[in-house]
Amino acid sequence: MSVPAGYYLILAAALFSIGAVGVLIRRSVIVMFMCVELMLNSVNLTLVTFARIQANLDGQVLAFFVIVVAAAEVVVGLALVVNLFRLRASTDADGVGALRA
Amino acid sequence: MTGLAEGAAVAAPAGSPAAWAWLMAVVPLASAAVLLLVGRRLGRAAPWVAILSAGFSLTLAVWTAVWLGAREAGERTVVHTVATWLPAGDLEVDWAVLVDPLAVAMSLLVTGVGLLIHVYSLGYMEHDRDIPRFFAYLNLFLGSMLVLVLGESLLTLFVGWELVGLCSYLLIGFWFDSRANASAAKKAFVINRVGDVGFMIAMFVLFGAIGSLSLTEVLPAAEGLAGGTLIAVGLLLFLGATGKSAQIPLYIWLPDAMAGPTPVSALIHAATMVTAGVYLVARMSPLYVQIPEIGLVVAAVGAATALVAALIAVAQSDIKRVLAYSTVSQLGYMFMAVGVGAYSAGIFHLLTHGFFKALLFLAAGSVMHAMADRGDIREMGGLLRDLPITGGTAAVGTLAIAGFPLTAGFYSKEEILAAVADTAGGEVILAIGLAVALLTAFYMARWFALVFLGPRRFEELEDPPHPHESPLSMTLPLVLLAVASLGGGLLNLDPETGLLAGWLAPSVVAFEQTAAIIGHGLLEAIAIALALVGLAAGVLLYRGGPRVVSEASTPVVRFAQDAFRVDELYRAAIVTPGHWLAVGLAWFDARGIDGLVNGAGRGTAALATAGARVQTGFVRSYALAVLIGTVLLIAALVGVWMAAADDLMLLGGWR
Amino acid sequence: MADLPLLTLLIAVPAAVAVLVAAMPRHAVGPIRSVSLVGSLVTLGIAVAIVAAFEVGQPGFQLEEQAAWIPQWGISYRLGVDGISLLLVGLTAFFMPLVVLAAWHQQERAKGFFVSLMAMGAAMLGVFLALDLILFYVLFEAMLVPMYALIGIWGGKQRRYAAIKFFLYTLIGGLLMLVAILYLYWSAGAQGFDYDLLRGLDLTGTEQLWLFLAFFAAFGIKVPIFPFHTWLPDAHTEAPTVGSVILAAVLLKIGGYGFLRFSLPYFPEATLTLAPWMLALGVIGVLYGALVAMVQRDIKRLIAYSSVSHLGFVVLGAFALNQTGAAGSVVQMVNHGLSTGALFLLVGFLYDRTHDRAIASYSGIMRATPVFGGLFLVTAMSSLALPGLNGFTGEFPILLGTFEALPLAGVLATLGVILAAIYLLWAYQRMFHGPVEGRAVGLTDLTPREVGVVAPIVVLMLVIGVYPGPLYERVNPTVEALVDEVVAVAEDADLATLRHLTGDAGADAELVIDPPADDEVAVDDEEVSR
Repeated sequence: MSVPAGYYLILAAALFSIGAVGVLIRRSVIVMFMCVELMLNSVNLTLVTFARIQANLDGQVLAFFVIVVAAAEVVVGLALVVNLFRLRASTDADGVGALRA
Repeated sequence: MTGLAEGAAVAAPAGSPAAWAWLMAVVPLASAAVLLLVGRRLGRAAPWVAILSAGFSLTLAVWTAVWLGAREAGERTVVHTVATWLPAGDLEVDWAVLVDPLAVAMSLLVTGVGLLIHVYSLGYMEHDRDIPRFFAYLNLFLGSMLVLVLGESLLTLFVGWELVGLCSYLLIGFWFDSRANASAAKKAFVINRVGDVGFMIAMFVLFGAIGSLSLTEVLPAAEGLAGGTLIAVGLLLFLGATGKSAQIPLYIWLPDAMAGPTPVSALIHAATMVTAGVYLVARMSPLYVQIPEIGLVVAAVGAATALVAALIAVAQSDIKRVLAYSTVSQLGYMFMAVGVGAYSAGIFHLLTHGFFKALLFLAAGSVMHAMADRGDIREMGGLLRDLPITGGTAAVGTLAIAGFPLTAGFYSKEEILAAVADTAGGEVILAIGLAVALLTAFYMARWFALVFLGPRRFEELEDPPHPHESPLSMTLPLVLLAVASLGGGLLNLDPETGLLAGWLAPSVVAFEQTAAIIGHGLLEAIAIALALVGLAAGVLLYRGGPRVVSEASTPVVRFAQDAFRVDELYRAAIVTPGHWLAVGLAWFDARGIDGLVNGAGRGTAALATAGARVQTGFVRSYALAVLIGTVLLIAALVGVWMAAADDLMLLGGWR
Repeated sequence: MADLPLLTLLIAVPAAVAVLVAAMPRHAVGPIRSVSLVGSLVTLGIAVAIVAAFEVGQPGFQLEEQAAWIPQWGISYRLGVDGISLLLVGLTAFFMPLVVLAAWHQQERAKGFFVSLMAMGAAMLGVFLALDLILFYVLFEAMLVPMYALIGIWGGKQRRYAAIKFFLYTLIGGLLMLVAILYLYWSAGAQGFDYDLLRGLDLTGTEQLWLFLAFFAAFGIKVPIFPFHTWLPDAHTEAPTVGSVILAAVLLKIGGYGFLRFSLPYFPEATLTLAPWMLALGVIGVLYGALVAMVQRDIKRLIAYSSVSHLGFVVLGAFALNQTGAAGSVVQMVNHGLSTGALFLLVGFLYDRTHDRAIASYSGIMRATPVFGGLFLVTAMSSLALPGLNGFTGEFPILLGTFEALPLAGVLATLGVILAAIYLLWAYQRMFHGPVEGRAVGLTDLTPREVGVVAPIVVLMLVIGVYPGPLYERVNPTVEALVDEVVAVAEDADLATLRHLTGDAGADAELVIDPPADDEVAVDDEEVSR
């Protein structure tokens, strides 16, 4: 009993949308961060799905890359967040305006 | 007789003095270097190093002259190449010496007067703190002047030409603690450079036409040059000569050059360096002989300069300025001679003038020495009693420059006037020449009378000086020069058959004389009469002291005292506009060009600032922008794909 | 000895020293400068060995070295030296120990300073030796970084402005040159970037014109040619002493070198077409630089503008398109390096003592410090081209060649000789003559180290002034071949322009009317083959 590929893709799309909306509407950097992870993983799901469809391993390999990159990103990102918190005693993304012209 | 113009130059035999003549220049130059580097450590020995090297050059010059004199008349043009100097592309110039009668005559004058002035300076500069530097410069000058005189190529001649300009700069500004001296030095150098540009362009033209700057190649080839080239070169070289030899329009530096120590005025600014222009024209005689009309221009400029300077000299009251303007005037005389093609007469006057003008300057130096460096002749008078040797020799010099019969100046001036009288179209020049002869006698008599005769006006000054005769090192050169000024006429008693005329024949090509404006006997009588009248008038008028100028003539006299305000004219016409041009360009540079550059920079910055407004600083708005952008991009791509192909693999899989 | 890759060593030694110094502890100032000095002396020694190994009389490249670098794109590591580059390499290597000595007492961030100096040296030497256009371009841009650092970190008050201006100007020029190089590469059928490969390509007149202008952007800015010169006074004024010295002595030479190395042989037709314009720009540079120098109040700015004037002569010589001018141009580059380098060193010594560059602040320095005054005077005289010193031996052939090419340009440029005397002597009189006043009071004379830095330059000025033969012997064959090549191409391409240039209008008319007879053609062929 196999689940049709389309369901996986729909699930991935749903996860991606949730992640994207989360990044856009939440103010806490930590939550935004988690949402980014959500988006990444939805992409992983897509990759794996297509790998199955194509019956080769390219997509799965790519998924591993994404996982590695995501891990690296977490390391850097969390360090930034911690520093930001130390600096401002808050994790509100809108409070950080250093890029404002 | 074959000479330089016919290409009769031969290589110097090994071991002959001509093969060593280059040492004449190199030894003083080396000695100058030594003195500049370690002069202070040499202490009192420093001047003797300089004197020794000057003596060496004189000895070598005499030896060369004797050796050359012993050769066949047709073989007296000798070349010796020491090394290649400037092999730049097509141009090839050697360090080479040209030993010929003209060069030898000049080097004898330079080394002879040079040595005397070295000796004189021993006494004159005794109390100066910078004696080694002074003697180093004197040596440097001696060497440079010999490079000029002996150079085989126009370019090596030019090297000497510029180096003597440097020495002149260094020595005018020797006492540079005073701004006036430093400024006079700079003025001399810059104005000389104006002339040098003419010299340089003349060399370019010649090189373009002949392909060489070597005198042994240029002079024989001069005959084949096109008329336009000849005229251009003739005028340009003369422009160079007017700078170095202080002629109209570039004479204004020489009077200011008197800021230098008096021995320098005697050596550089009277006897030797300033005659370089005359030497140059004489040297290029094979060229000028083909363009007598340009020669007439040269003579006319010389005459005009002689007259203007003589008029100014009458009104001057500084002991050295009178002599300076007199030098300008006498140089004008020399150009009259070389302009009408009487080269031996011109060089003859150059030599005799070297004797008596050096003598007069040294005498002036001796007077100033005695007067505690005062230079106003209105404050002197009656010094003959205190300074018998100086006064006596100065009297000899005055008579010689005035053309008193049987003195050196009499013969040389007479020959010049005779040569002008034989030149077609020379009437006006001759008249001016005679007028200048009268003026010369007059202002020199005035000078002598105010300094040495009459009441002792200096005794009424505050802090009056106590004049005393100068030491032997100073009086000995005076006496020797006085002897030369008296007997120098023997060099060339007759313009055609004289010793000097015969000697110089291989080096210079005289013009054909075509006219006879006035008989030579009559001319001689007139000249003698004018000299005597001038002398008598000067002595009689000024024996009693400076004359109060009558009211009516005051503006005229003041105008002459101010040297006809030529300096002011040049300042208004050239210096000030030049300055404003430079200021304008500097403004253009800072505001115009850099304004554009900085404007471009500021424009970019403004654009960036405007663009940066988009950057709100809200991370999430950036993310939204990214999202929208991505969606649009994907939508566009999908659209393109769909339009391009219906059955993409992606869609196939989807089914 | 002969087997050693001398040219590679010449670049590698300073580069290695830069790396070595970078690895040393920051506070070990003594060892850092000792290592730098030894490294620069070794570099000088290698340069001397190269000069000794160089065979006089050969026009082409010698001591060549070649290795594949990026073979896919035909990029190779190729070095070689000919008469033109030999002199400039010698000049660069000669100045390296001197600038290290001049910066001996550099305390502030000394490590970075000496690293920059050594990196600068390696890049400059490489630029003169590179015979692959990509290699040349890389090194050309690599010079920017250490120089930018020297000005921007160790410079004066306006250092950031000056450094950025310098950087942008050079970068823009360099990028345009890169575009032109790539175009050449494509038009060569993508064979590679070798110097000889890109030489003698079959380019149309329009292509040549545009490519010439692109190269001109790089080299004209470097020279610098009016109106692209305004970065120079700022860079010179704000740079630390040795920065100014390197800038004046070597960096500006890359412009003149580039014209002779690339512009002339690559684009002979464009060169001929534009030569009168280039001569005009040269004349403008000579006169404009001198006039603006006359009214400067800052001695370093004055010298900077004098550089603009003197390098105008280099442009004149290069585009006079005759051997005399071109040979003079190369020698003038060396001479300008010596005299202006020495002037900046001397001014730097003064600035070290008083921290004041205003001319009006000084009076009577000659009396206060005679050794300094004397050396300055000799250098100034060299700069205003007094015969007997080095300046004249380059300037005179240039003026002669320019006059031959375009008499009016020659005459106007000769006027620069007067102006040089005016501005230099004015400044000298103002600062060195007169009573001892202002900042000259209590001034101490040069230390033995400082004399040791300037004395070799002054000695070289005298030697070159009296005996420039060895320089010309090496330059003459190379420029002869170069000029012959350009003129030969020109004769094929555009006879009329050349006739116009050489002022031989009569011959032109004659040739246009009558087809050349057989023997005339034979003469032409002979010239081409030569």
